Amino acid sequence: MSAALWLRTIVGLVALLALLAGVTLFGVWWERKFIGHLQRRRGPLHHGWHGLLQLPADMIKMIAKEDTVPTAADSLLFQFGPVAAIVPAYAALAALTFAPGIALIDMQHGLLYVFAWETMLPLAFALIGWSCANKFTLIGGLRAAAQLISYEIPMLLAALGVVLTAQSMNLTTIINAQTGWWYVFKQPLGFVIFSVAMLAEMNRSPFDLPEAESELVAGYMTEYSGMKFGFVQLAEYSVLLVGSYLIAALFLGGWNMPFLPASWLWLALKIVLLMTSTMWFRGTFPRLRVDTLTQMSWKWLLPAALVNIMLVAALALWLGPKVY
Amino acid sequence: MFGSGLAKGLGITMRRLLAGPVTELYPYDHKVLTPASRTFLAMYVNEEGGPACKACNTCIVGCPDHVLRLEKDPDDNRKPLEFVVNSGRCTFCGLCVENCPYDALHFTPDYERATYDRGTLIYHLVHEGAHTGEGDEPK
Amino acid sequence: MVNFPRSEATGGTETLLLNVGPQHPSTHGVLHFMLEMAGETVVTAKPVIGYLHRGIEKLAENRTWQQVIVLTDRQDYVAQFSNEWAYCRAVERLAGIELPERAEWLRTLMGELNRITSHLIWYAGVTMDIGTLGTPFIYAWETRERIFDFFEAVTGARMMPNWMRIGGVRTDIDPALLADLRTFLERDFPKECDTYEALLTGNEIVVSRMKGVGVYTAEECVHLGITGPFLRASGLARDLRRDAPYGAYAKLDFEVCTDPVGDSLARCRVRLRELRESARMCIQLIDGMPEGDIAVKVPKALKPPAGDCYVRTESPRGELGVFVASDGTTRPYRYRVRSPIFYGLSAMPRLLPGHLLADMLVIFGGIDTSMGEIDR
Ligand code: SF4
Ligand code: SF4
Repeated sequence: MSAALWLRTIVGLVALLALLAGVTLFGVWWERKFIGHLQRRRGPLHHGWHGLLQLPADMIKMIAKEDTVPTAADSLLFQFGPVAAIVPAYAALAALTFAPGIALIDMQHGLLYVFAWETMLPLAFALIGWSCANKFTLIGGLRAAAQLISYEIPMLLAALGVVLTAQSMNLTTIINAQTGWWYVFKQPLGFVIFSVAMLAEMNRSPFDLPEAESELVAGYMTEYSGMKFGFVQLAEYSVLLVGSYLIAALFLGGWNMPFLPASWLWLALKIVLLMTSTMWFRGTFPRLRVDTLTQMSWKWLLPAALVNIMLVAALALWLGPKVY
Repeated sequence: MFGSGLAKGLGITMRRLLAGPVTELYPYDHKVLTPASRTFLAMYVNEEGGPACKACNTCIVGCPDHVLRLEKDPDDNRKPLEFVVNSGRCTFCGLCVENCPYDALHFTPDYERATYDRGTLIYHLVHEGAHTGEGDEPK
Repeated sequence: MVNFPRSEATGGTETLLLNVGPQHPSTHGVLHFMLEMAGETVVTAKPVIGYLHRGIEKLAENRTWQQVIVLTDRQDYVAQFSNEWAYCRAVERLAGIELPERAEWLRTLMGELNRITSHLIWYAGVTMDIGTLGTPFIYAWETRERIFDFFEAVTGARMMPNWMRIGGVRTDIDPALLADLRTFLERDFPKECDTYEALLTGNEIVVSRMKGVGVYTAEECVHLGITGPFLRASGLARDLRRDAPYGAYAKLDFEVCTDPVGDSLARCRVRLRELRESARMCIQLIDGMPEGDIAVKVPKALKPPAGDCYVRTESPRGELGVFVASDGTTRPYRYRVRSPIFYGLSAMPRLLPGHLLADMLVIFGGIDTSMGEIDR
């Protein structure tokens, strides 16, 4: 590799890490603020402007906290768990294109790459749940695995519709194909399926079963404290970021905006709005039950996704790839 | 239709968000308690400026938690020498104020006496520097 | 760790002992559930109570008759007025004290308002248990605060009123406060109730989780001595306010809310309807409040004649019974409480098996337990 490529890679990786940390900090703050206001409270208020420094302070607290390992835990796996969660979450960011030409690697099959890494997460959560030697984490970890695996299939099938029409797995190409009509208007069914499945992938209410607070205390992360908890949290927010990005990129036109010049700002705005709506759902909805959850995936979303693909394929054949 | 209830719920929460917060910012905004509220005990003064208590012991007998202690003046059976309130034990039930036949006791509107030291919660009501409250006029 | 034997019922696999509580986010006080689980399904459930035992019944024996009222507030800290009322009625019956009309009406008003606050706490708890992030919880709290402000203005405390007295009540209620309360109950409260219904029984996710979960028939309820909304949600219209009226209930027009189904959703519907019913009763009480004394004179050193008596009242959780025995001294010889929801809790070992862990919390939250009352 040439020196320039090395430099580019390192700068890109650092930038992505900064992005992830920034999104997590902002996301937690915004979530606390937004849900606080939904509940007619004010949320954090005291450190910095409207509590903006609360999260850096929390991070310092997390780093300074004692790192406890339960006696009965499988200590090797317990230490390894957060790494297993953070690596896929971080690696998936590499292929995201944030503006035309702005990506660490603009991969030919970027979408596949992102999904591949996201698929690793249930493994990490199950691992964490198992290693803690706590029954609540165990149930949480297994729920996470069951949920993420069953929602991945409709999600991928819904994304396939987009890939079919855009005739590419490259994220830049997919977004550029939406300069006219966004795919949300062309494939509304696909959009709904993808969003619902993505919401489940993000472990967000009403699909937050793996960390169901009222049932499982804190689900698979019950035993973690300090920075290990921070890493798991980071992984969660990375999924939130990637999920919102994918919805925005695949269906909402990415950086395109009708009648306005394309800019990364639109993408950022869409991501923030999507993240906010997940928080809105979280503040309003109760949680589904575990059997309804899996049934919904296999009995409704999966058939609907198959119908969607057939519909999209038929339309694409009929109208031709240029139009549809 | 499935989903209409969900949408309605989202509408409700958003409307509440737009209506603005209702919480009080406690250390900045002080809530004024109602006159009826039961907080810390204080004693009225009588016409001569002394404690209004006549050392009759009714409040002490009536207190369920043994909070109050009274020492009578050896020279004057109707005068308290010391009247001690161990507020750390008090349940603020109000029976003492209710029971006093001379209406000597009352509650102050002050509720901020949190402390790290239990000893500071023991108040002497008839001493010099006794804790009185506002409105210490004889009844 | 207890390992249960492998049983055929669970497909030959080993079951798991899951301790839910005493430190768990949704045990409403300090309750401990020992659950034998097969995967996520409850095989057997065993509630362990007593973590909140403060010995109130024994403490009462060392206090004068009036001082016990302080304890009854703390006995069930969610339904303070109902507990005070039950105790005062028992002592009054024992001592043969007749109350002035106004005192009865004032007590009834506070009792009904207390039913509202108690049901709001139930609402807050059950919405938390079902997995919302506390938004309906806080909305219920908001209304409860409004009523608590009224309590504070009248009695001097928000949670521990110590307001009812043997022979009447301690303070009168200012007409201006009553007028304020009436406007609130008439204008704002029904809207709030709409919100509660929309966020709980109107939400499809809640319906999908609660419908058909934890069905208990009226017959089984009667068998266990379950009363109150739990029983009424199983279709049996039994309400002491109507069947054995006390206070001012005989003069009020109200409906006993029932639901034939008997599942968790029915219990929610019954309680939500009772909120509106209670508000309607409060308005009637404010409108028809008679003038007169608020208490009769009772000696400070009250000595009810030797004997005992048992009094039943309809608390927000069901039939709250108080037994007092006097030996003719200034202190009760025995004070005993029949806690209504203790019987509801004892239905749990029959109700929970076969349900999922998530259902367990819905069922348990839906019956409105108050550990303070169970453990005393
Ligand atoms: S308020 Fe109650 S507990 Fe406190 S001193 Fe008076 S009688 Fe005793
Ligand atoms: S009851 Fe009143 S007068 Fe008697 S001792 Fe107590 S404070 Fe003094």
